[in-house]
Amino acid sequence: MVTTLEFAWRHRSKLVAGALIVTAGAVAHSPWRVSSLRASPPAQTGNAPVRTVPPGTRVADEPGKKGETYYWLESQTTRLTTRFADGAAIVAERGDGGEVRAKIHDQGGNETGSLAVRSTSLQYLPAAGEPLQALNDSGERVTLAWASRQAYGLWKDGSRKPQWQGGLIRPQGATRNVEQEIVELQAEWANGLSAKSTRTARSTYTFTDNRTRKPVKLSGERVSARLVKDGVQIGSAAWFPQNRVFVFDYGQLGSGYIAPEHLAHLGGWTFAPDMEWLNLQTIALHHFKAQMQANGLNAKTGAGCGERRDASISRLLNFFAPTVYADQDGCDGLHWADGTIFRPCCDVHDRCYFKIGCDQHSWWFDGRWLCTFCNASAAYCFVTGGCSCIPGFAELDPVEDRKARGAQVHT
Amino acid sequence: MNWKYPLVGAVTFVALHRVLVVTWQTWFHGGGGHSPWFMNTVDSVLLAMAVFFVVNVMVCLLMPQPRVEETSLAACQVVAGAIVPMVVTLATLPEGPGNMAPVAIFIGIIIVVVPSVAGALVGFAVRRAILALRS
Repeated sequence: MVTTLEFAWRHRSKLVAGALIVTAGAVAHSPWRVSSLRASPPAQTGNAPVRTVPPGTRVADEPGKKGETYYWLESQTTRLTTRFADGAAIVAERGDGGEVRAKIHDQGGNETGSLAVRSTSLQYLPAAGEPLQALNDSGERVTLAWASRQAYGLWKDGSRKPQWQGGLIRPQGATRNVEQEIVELQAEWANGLSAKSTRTARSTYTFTDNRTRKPVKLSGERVSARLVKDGVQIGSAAWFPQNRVFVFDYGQLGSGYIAPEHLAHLGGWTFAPDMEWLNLQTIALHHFKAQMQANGLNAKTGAGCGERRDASISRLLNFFAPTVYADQDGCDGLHWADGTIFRPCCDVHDRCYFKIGCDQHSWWFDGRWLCTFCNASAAYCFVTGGCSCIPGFAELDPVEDRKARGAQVHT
Repeated sequence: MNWKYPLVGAVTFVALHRVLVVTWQTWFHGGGGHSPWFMNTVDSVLLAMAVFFVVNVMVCLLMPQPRVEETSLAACQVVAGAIVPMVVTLATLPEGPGNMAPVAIFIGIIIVVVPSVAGALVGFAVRRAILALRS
């Protein structure tokens, strides 16, 4: 006997099945994932149409190009001293009007020429020989490092029959690799920070991978950077071009390395790290850490037994290794919680991961107890309504102002 | 175990996500720059809860003479069906699942299961009320 309700269910189940087929068809024809567009660089002039982007589409940065944060950091470099293999040195500085000026010194310290660069034009004045004035059609952002390379190229190769090659004015037929002739690059930054990177032709370096417990041996050319503040070294990093491995040690902030296998799922290194990049990396890490501490002193809202902190650590991670840790600013996959009491759980978890060297795969394929500790502590934090006060985990709280909080209470 | 309930849950989640993708810029104001995903904004969380509440009310109304525990069990089966596309969707987000993925999945299940069971119970109560009125 079929009841009325059973008949209705069977009838409607056919409708549901039909709706399922229609839905499946719609999903199959239009992918769930929003497609990515590359921001391609060509500037449009005249009446060129505006390139619009469909709603929901993520616009990715162009691979191989440095990002906005990079240029913002670079703009705060006050002086850049570049030394070359032949003993020449170029000192580049920013002028009061925003222009970049580079002075060329030979091995004996004599000034042999200068270059002044604006976004629209550049002027090269050698001590001897024909000066050059040209429109700046390089397509590159004017940085101190770019001006140094350009000045050195013009000084060494001259400016006869000039043409643009790889963003630099070069005489026709010039084959010099200016980047390879740099042996030392010293950047003086705001707040008394300076970073010096040097190139070593042959070097070997061995360390133990904390995850696999196996020794990692690196060899070949090495570019090293040291970060100094008030005469004290506070960090170091190195890039091994042959191995394509980046090694860093920033003391309490963390140490580790990034090899091509860590980036395999992202297509490897999307750009070739150079000495300028290395200097800014070391500076950026210190800068963002200092910023975090400053923001921590101004913690805004209470959350559980900890205090809400700014997510500067996430910004730091995004600049330092934007894709290595697959980390986003805030609560990954839970961004509705970014403005809630759970936010500190995510930020502290981010920092815990960064310090230990865990990544998103550490939940499943990483046997290290420290990564498990980060995860368990984060879970506890969520369960307890934003309490990041577990010993060990609490010390990773980016606020780092528990003493300051005490001081605030006393005052 | 009735295979229809997990299927309903899976279809519901897929349809919900599809709606989020289409309306992300207009209804959810781009989700603060994040990809369409039901746990990326408060509004999308509320929408998901409302959708699963309504779906479970409907499922309960369509069940043939259910007992109260059967409606709750059916709601759990609906949620179980939704978990599969939920995990797949999170794993295939353009920015990746993120380093809080298991926590996100766990909280996602809670977000879905609470209104589902509530919907099933409300549906059961409505059904009983209707039957009482008819008799």
